[in-house]
Amino acid sequence: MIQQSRKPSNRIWFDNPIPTYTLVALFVPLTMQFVDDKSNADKTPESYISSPIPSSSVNDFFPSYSKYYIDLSEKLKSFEQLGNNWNGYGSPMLQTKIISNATSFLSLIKEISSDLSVFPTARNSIQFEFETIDELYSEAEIFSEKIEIYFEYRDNPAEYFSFNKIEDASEKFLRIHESKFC
Amino acid sequence: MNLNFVEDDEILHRAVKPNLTFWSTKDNRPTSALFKDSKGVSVDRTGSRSESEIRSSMLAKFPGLRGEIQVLTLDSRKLFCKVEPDSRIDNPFHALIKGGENIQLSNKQARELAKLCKFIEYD
Repeated sequence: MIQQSRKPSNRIWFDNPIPTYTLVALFVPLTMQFVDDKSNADKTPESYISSPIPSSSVNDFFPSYSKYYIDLSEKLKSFEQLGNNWNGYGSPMLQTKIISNATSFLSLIKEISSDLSVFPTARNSIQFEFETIDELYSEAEIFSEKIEIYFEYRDNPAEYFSFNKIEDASEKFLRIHESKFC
Repeated sequence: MNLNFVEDDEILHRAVKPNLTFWSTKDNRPTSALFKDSKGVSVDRTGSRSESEIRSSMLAKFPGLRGEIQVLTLDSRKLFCKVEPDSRIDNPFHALIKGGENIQLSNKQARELAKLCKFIEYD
């Protein structure tokens, strides 16, 4: 049985608006401490609060991978619409649990979303994969009860791993992406 | 056509459906997921047919088909896959690509086939 844990509370999740709004509320007064006193000598505290937040701050709250993560999430969701024989060769429809597992897995690897593709298979699994320009290729195949990771790098022997915990599989996949094989 | 054996030089054809579910636009190639099937990978063997006959047959089965992937039987066997005829009443050209000992291909076999296959786009 694949174990799914709650999102760690010590991390900020951009898809949860509450901590984001909290950050905004905290960020504005914090920036005031770093403003040049000379250039703003004639400004009142009230005018600081009414000043617009610099656009670069927006990127802190909406990381660059957001668009890719959303695209992948929507693609995963679209797999719910695949009925039996979706590939024309007798493929079964994907179980809800597999899509759910894949969604959880994606949430743990979202920072590499821009490099990922995702596909259904005809053997009751969903596959994430990436390939880098220096020939590192890896795929994570999400089943209902396990996740299998395969990777190959140039002419080196391919390696396989099997996990029954989503967190362990995601950590391995991220490390492979960072070229940390061990 | 030898009904009991798929010749090494026969090309194997598999449909790629219009929604490009199996096409990796990032890498401009089919994904190995295309070759992952619990029942073996269904293909159509060339037999003694021409390209146009094969295309007509594929389009009849898959209306609106965008294209097909092709892989040589010999290349599959070099990867230790089995290619076996699996003639059916509605499709005498049906064949299966299987893993060596298992029906399913290994990740490595699927990956290598994805790299070897050619995508033929229909006009």
